Amino acid sequence: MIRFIAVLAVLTVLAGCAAYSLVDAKRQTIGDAYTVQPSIQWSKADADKVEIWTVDGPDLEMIRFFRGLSDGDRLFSAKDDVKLPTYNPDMKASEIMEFVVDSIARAGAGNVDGTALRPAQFGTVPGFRFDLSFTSGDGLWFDGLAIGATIDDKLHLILYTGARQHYFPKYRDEVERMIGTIETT
Amino acid sequence: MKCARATSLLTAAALLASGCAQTGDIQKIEPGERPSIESDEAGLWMQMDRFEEDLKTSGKVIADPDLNAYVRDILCRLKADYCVDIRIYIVRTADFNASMAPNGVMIVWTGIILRARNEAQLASVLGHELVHYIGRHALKRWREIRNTTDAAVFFTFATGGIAGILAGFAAYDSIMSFSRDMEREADSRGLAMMHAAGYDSREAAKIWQQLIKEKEESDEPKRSAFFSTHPATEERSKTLAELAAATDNAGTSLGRERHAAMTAPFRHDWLLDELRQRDYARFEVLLDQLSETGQEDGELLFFRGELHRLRGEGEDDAKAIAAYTAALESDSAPPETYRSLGLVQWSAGNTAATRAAFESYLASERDPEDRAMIEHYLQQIP
Repeated sequence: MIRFIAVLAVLTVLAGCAAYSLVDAKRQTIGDAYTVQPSIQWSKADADKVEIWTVDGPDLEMIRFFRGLSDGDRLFSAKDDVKLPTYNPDMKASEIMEFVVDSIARAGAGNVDGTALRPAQFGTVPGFRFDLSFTSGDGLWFDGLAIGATIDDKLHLILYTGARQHYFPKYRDEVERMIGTIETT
Repeated sequence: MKCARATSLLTAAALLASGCAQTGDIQKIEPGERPSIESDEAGLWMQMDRFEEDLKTSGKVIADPDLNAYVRDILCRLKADYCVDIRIYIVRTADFNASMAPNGVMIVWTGIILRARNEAQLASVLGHELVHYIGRHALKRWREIRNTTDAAVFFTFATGGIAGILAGFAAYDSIMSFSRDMEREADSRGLAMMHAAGYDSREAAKIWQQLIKEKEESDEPKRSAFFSTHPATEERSKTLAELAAATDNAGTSLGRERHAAMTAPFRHDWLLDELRQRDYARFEVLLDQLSETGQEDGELLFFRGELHRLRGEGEDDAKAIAAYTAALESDSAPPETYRSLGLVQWSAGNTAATRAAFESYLASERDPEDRAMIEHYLQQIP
């Protein structure tokens, strides 16, 4: 249980306690692979291979931009002996969805479900997208959407999640519009 | 949040003060009994009542009336006079755990219902927890720790920590872990209770044996909340077996059929929860135990295939293909067996078999929600 909580603690530190900076409503570069054009201001926190954007706070809604996960990388930080799924470049889209869903479940969420996996363009790169739902540790329902692509053996993934009541729908159109502005570099 | 935390700390202070005057022997709680309002026990109950209010609306609690009625029926059969005092919450969570709060909230994780092979095994766990309630073990434990720093930690759990209600309760469970004497009492009286209710008491030791095997094989044994609060030892299992051997189990029941029927609608989701923990060795033990009759059904074979496909080491691909193929020979394999078979055949470079599996998946009765993706795969396969 201590290790289980440690996973969540790392996630919380990453999402809730990191230093945030302002993201202006102008084209932003995500890692070295692509740019997006937000139409509103967001707050941003940076970590190793992920940056988090939020407006009302990460407990309510957030976009996570995973910037080029490599072979053996995990979606979330945790101690080495915590059994989190790892990414490998040979994964098909179905397996990447499993990787994401199982990582979220392993981090303590319940009722995790990935649905409607389908092909999608990630800028000019063929990719995939799917929908998500899960309950938080408090049993609050969350919805989510994910879009991603494997570019040069690295996984680039945009994961938007928010509380089902109010917050997920509040920024969904903005997120969808921003996905439409992805320009791979 | 700050307000709630402040309230809790004030409550803690009040309890610490009131508790100092209450050091006498603790009698068992009587059916329908409530603590007097000025007691430290009432403070404990108040904390747990607040926790229960949050729990009631948690998306992790399974509301299915049939499943709840089934578990409740076992509890009431064990101790009818206390039945009305206990509120059972079945929480969808992998792993083996059950908890008893002093105010009558009993939390039963789905991992425990999945692992019980029959009604008698589930009854042994419920009886064990019920003894903790009747014996007021939480109050005893609280009085033991109230002057330590743990007491302050205890009163933060109900304010909602980083990990939410259930992890908060697990933290409470850990802090309030009962003494070995309390555990022994819960084991022995729980066993007597299940026997008196007509269950085969030999099953109590068996479920511990299962857990010991899981713990031995686990890649991550310290993760389990239950193992940290309920040491799964050979001594414990042996004692239970000896106690059961000293009782006459003639005419007692296992309740295997009813348990299988009541849990069948949920087993797929609960197995998926366990698989997602990615503790492959432990999951394999669990599958072995669930298929102990030697007749694995299609669903268990599918999950055996999933275990090998996700682990992907050594001969896992071949073992996954064999398990999926066997599953599909039954009439109980889930439709996604074809999809998983296609993925592992693709990984193994068997293009014809990949295509055949994906086409069968698309042709299965249930229109797949990932149809567009599978059709995309088929375009990519030579």
